[in-house]
Amino acid sequence: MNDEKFEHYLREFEPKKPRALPKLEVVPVKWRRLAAAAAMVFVCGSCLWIGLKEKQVEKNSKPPGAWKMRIVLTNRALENPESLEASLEEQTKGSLPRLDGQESTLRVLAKE
Amino acid sequence: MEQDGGLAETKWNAADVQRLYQQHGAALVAYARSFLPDAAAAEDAVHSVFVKLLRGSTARPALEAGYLYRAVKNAALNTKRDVARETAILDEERWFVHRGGDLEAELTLQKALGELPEEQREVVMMRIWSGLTLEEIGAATGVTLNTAASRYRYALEKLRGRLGACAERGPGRS
Repeated sequence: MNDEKFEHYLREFEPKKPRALPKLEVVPVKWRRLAAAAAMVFVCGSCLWIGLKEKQVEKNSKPPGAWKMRIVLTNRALENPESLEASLEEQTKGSLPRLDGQESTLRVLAKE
Repeated sequence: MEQDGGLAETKWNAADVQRLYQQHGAALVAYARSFLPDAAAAEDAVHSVFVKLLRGSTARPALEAGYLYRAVKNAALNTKRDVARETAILDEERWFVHRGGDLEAELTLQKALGELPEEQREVVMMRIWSGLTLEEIGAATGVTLNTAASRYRYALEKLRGRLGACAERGPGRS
C-alpha cells in the first residue's frame, strides 16, 4: 500500500467528536464601551452635582449682603466710634456672657 | 497560507473560536488522549484552551492550528503532571471511530499512535486529521520542512507496519 492510499485509509478514522464548548457570556466590545462611557458620565455628573451642592451650601451659610454690612460698620467706626460701640454693646447684651453683674461668668469662675 | 507561528496583534472573536473548534476540536481531543488516558481529562484540556481563547486572554497567533496543538499539548501535560499518574491506554476507550466500523483497527491505530515518538505523533495528527501542510507543520513545530517531512515519513512507516494488515483486510474480516 503506497503512502497516498495509506493516508486515505488513515482518514477513514475520525477522531470522536468532543462535547460542545461551554457557553461563555461574552459581552460584546460595543456594550463594554457603552458601559464604560455610562460609568464615566455617572462619575462626572456626580462630581459636578457634589461641587454645585457644596457651592450652594457655602453661599447659603453667609448672610445676604454681609459685605455691605461690613462697609457700613467700618464707616460708622471711622465717623462715630462711640455710637458704634454703644450699638454693638446693646446688640451683644443677650448673646455674650456678662462680666459686670453679681453672677457674672467671671465672678463665678473666680469663686471656683 | 499561514507561515508564521508568532503571535499577531489581532484578537479572537467567538465565531472564529467556534469555527476552529469545529475544524480541529476532534483531532485535538484525540491528540490530547495520546497524553492522557482519561477521555474527560483530554476533553477538559482542549476545552481549557478554547475557553481561554473565548475569554480573550490570549492574543491571536498567525498560525492558529499550530498554536492550538502546542497549547493543547501544554494543557494535557499539565493535567498529567497534576494527576501524577501514568496509566496504559485502555483498549475499551475509543478516541477514533472507523467509518467502516472496524473496531480492531481503531484500537490498533490508537495503540500505534500512542507508541509513536511524540514529535512523530504530532506531525501525523496535524497532517492527517487537521489537514495542515508539511510547511505549516514545520512552522508550527519550529522545524524545517525537511525535518517535518522525514518525521511524517517515519510515522507513516510505523503506522503502516501496525495497520497494514487491517488496511488490506478491510473491516469485519478478521
